[in-house]
Amino acid sequence: MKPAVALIAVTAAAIAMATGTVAVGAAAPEDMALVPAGPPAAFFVPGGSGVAAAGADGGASADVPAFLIDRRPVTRRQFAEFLRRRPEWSRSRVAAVLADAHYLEDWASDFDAGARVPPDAPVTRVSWFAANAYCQWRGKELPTVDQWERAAAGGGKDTAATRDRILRWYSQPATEPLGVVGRGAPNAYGVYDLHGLIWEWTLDFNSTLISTESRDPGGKDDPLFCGSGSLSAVDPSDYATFMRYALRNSLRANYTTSRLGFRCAREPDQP
Amino acid sequence: MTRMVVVLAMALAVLPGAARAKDEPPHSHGDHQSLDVDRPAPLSGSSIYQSDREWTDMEGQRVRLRSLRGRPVALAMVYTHCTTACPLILANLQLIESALSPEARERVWLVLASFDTERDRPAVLKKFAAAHDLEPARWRLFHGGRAAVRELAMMLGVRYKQKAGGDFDHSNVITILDRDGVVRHQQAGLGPTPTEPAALLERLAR
Repeated sequence: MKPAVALIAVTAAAIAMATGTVAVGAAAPEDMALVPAGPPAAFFVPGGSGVAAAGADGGASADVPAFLIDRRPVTRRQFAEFLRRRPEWSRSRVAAVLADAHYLEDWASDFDAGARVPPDAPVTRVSWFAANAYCQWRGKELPTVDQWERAAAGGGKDTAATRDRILRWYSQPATEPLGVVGRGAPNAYGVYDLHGLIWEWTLDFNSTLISTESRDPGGKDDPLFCGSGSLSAVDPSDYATFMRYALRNSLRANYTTSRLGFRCAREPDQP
Repeated sequence: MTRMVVVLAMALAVLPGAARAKDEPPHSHGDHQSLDVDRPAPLSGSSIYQSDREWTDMEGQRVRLRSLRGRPVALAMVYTHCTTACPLILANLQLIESALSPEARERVWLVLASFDTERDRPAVLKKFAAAHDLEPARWRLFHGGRAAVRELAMMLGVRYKQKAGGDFDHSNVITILDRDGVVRHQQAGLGPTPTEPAALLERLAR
């Protein structure tokens, strides 16, 4: 039975690929936005000198296939429901290797987010492992860096003014309790809160191989990395993106912080 | 020190592991039925054996990382088509192996886990092991799916990215685990002779 189902799924996928139908016309669920296939929001180019090197290592950016992404970050209310269904992820039970000692420390108790912060504020103080488990439980995945950045670029409308706004947010100390999700204006894809509320986990946040050694002129520490891991920025003036990559580069998967949350993504439904 | 670790493991025994096997889609690996027996046993919350992901060894047996429990481990993530850094990582692991006393050598695992979910199938790993004279009594080579590879890399802090040609950029790290799968040491980079990891593994194997 299972092999047969798998075979049908594989066949369907093969047909979809052969006919090039990538579900762009498919309806997205109300709480997710469809981001059409297109080039990644290129920030780094592999092995290059700032020029988009023509894929010396085959690294020329392939298009990001169409995907669905949650319109809003996952809230404390939603995460509480997950914890009730998957109590092994409650803060008193989770293993240290999967979440650090500050995991959900701002909650009133194991399953109660408390009243200090609104239930529709984004959940933070969650590790990558917990965020990944939540998305899997929902039948989704964390967005990849390429997906997140493509959604956040909003179809090329990430203008200098937008960058300035983002940088102003990045430069403000985070002292206030978090507000609720979905309050600002959505971007061109109908996605809220990509900037201005929280930082977000991505599936492959550990995929940027840049050296943390600033004295290394090559941009990577050769003995540490295999292959042509060197990267250079397409647009060195894009400090906002630099900051996101720097943050991702500093994380370990069991870390939690008060301003780091997540949303989920998945492939579009087949028509 | 060993006693301390044991005490710690016992103290943490009340924490049940995050059992996520039920979140995994069922695999159909033909007629292989041989899941390793998961006896409920105290396991440190810091152990990477908290992971329930399945791997396949070079004999085609489905295993969890937990099957390594009981021996200290020197582990690296590599892929066998790699022609640059990975041969050096393997050479470093072999240096560690040869630095061990004959007694310790019988009581450790030397583990290669592959990034290459597509090409490094068990048969490929078996050929690779034979070609490099890796003694099957202590060398374990693991093939895993994307989720297993990503989770292990996340637990070890290993960075990697698959390139369009199928090769991988990845950080080069040798990790030493104690008998319970707790990370005790990590050596990054290819340069230094692995004397410290070798000495630690020798101590852990006693």
